[in-house]
Amino acid sequence: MSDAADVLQGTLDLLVLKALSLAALHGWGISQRIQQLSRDALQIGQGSLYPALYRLERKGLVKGEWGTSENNREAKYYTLTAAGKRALAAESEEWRRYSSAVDLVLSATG
Amino acid sequence: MRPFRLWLRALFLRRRVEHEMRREMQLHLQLETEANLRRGMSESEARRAALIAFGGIGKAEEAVRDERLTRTLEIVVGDVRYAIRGFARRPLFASVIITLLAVGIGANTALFGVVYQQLISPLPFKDGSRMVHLQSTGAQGTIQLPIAPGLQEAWARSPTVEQMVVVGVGVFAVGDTTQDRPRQVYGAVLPPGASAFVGIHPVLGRDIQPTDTLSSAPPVVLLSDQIWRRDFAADRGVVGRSILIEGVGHVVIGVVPPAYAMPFIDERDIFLARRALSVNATRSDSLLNSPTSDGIPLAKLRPGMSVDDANREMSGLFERWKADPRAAQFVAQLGGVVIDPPRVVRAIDDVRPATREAILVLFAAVSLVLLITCANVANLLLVRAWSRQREFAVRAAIGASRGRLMAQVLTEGAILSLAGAFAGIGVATLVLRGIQASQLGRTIGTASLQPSVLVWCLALSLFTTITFGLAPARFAAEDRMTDALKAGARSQSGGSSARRVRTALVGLEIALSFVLLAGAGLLVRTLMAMGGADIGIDTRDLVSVEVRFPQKRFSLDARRAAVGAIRSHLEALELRDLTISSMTPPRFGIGLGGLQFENRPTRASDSLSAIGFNDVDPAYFARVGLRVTRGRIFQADTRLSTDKNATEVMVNERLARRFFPNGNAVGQHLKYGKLPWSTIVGVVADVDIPGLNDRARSLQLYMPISPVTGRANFVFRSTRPVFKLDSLIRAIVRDAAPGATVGNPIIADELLSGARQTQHSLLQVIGAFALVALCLAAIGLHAVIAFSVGQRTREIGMRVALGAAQADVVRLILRQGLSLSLWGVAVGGGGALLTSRALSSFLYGVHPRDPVTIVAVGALVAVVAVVASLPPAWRAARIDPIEALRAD
Repeated sequence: MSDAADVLQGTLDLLVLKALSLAALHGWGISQRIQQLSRDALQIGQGSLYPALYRLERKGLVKGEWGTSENNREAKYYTLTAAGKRALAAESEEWRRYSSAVDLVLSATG
Repeated sequence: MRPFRLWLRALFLRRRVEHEMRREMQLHLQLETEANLRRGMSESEARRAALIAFGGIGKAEEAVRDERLTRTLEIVVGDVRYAIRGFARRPLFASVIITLLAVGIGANTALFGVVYQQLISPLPFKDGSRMVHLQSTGAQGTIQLPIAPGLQEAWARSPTVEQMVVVGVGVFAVGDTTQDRPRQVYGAVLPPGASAFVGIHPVLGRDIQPTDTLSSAPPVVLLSDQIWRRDFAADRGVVGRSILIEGVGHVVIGVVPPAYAMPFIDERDIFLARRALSVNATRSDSLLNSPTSDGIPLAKLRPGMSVDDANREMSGLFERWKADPRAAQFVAQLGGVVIDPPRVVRAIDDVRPATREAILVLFAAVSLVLLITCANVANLLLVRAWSRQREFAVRAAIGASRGRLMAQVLTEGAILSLAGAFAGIGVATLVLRGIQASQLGRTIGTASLQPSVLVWCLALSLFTTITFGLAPARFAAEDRMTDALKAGARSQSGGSSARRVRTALVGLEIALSFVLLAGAGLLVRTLMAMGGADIGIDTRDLVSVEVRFPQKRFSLDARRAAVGAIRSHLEALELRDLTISSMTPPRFGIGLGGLQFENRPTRASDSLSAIGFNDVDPAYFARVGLRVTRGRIFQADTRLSTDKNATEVMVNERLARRFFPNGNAVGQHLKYGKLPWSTIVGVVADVDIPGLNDRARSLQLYMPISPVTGRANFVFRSTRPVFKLDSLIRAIVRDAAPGATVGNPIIADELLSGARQTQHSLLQVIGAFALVALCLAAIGLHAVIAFSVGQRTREIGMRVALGAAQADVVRLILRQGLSLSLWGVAVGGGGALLTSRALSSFLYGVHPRDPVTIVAVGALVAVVAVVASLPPAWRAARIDPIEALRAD
């Protein structure tokens, strides 16, 4: 169980970083954006979104700041830091290699 | 940096961070709900769907909190609260433990304070760490050599030395000798600048100035705080007044503060100005040290210079000095001795070895007491942990890890330790005050609670937490969750490992008490041996009174006449065994010089011998009971004769044996220092004060007393009260020899018990510690046996049911107590054999591994073990088998 959770957690961090690379977003916005980008294929377990955000913030990959949303509500907006951008690039590369490797295994015939 | 700031924020702005987190999640839910509404759901449905999508707010919040990494601290705070609540529920338990720890930690802290102040910390003087003096070590021990002319000055000018002062020390008669009772006080003769040298200045009046040293200037004196308060009632008007010192008027110019002490020099009452003297002029005529002519060179090294540098410098100067014509003259004066270069000694290294050892022995003893305290507290906490098994099991069942349980128990220990340490500071203050007020303070000095001592106190509390806290913590973490929840506490094993630990702890307590008891036992044997020792003379009722005849008032003949007059007055008082000597028996003066024998070449090893000397009346030997073992007693004073070997002297057995092992000492000729050649006419027994171990005075030389000496001790036996003798003798001296000064009557037996003072003080402290330790060990043993009887109720009931008599049961339990204590005795006995050597320099007439002491202590411990096991054994014997077997 713990192995699967690690993989998922790592993936979640990557998705969050990717979502934030396009624009600053608040928590709900991030979950919406990921859902939208994955064409509803990925539903973020929202209970684990916030721990992920705090973790990324602690690692200095994202930065959270309180601001006002489009309909005038106080919300905490997250932006990618420079370290976050570097981490996104590195982890995306890592993920691509990993998923294509898994693809290769799965598509093997005989 | 940023993550750390977040962490601090999470720790200290906890509420705000929590609030923000909740707001953020609320907003999320709100936005989700709104989105659902837009999708056409009803309001309640939209909210429900949002909550479902979020998936448990509480869990999410917990997960976020975990990410903040402030958990550990929050747990500690929680543990502390929990522990304090626990103690509040059992105030007696907590206060017993805190009291035990306070005593253990407090006593240890106090003694550490003494160790720190006396042995570690820099001296209280300005630049104390750079202060040194010059020391010469003679063949017989450490004695102050007359400083060679020219050498000392050359060294003072060398690049290693910043400043040097020579301080003279001596005994002075203060007061009008014709009117009231003059007092003999300790004084120092200071050069100008001595106060600046030690960095302490008069609190009243002025310091000694260079002009005070001119021979035309009026003589001046500085008073110590003590004499100012005692004899002048702390009168500020004393400055400017004139007082008589050695019959000469001195103007009081000031009063120095209580702490005005010089390194290497004992406490002084008065300070005189050194007048118009060059550094070494006082030395020339005083090769046999008369007490008023000692000069002690004190110096301050330049910053950055080490003692080794200074010693190297001195060795170089010494080689060059040997070519100086003054050197040959100096050596000749000393009687052809071989001289080594004086040694430079740091003031801080000058603590007397006996003091150092006494301090360290006591420190070791209090450390043993602290260990015993820890063992006792560990035992109590283990019992408590045992009774809390259910609590631990429940906590484990609802998810507390072993680490958490251990942390909880250790936190409780730390809180107890800290409380103990804080209370211990109070105990330490009391202990230090007690030391200061008692005789012990004179032996080991005292201390204040400085910051570094308090740091030690805190370090001790950490140490105790770990030593006594680990066993209960491990017990708490043991996995016996199912056992504890399953059944009543009585029927389970109770953790056999905990029982083993408790047994070991009690054994350890017994062993440590054994070591302390053995130390106390050795000291008891020492004091017995000292009290019964043959010291060479019979001191029963022996009293002596010193009378000094100042040279200014008494010519040689006047002195002779005065001694005779006083003597005949005293004879009229019908004092028993009246006689005269120059030194107070059983003391000796110390002489220094080359010892030469006519028929025996001088060897390097005898070259610089310290000798104990006493000038006595021929009747002295018979009167004080000093045995003449060979030859005869000398004739009355022959010292003024100019004939070679006309002076007759007597030596002690030790001197005779050392230089004439063939037993032919009588008839030999010897010369000591600048004294004339003399003939040994007799050999007498050694006179040694037990416990003083005075190597410098172990070779003893007796000469006929002569008026040359300038003082006489009237020695006699009397049982009259000292104050009566005092006034009688003062009256006699005032009539018979006006102008002479009288010392206080000294009782020989009091001198002897004074020499036993260190052992007495050590015995008091170590003995008290040993008794406390034995009590703690007995309590610990009792608790363990009682506990085991409680656990064995069923078994004992079974035994009784099967026919065991009450006596059998008692024997069974006593055997358990005895066998437990026996291995404590075995370990303790081994420990005592290994450690008793630390006491050896305080022992007299008993070997450090004295079998009598070891056996006696072993027997005592065994008896105490049996007594401690008796109550539980008794309880066991009265167990009703029917009750016991029905209990479960």
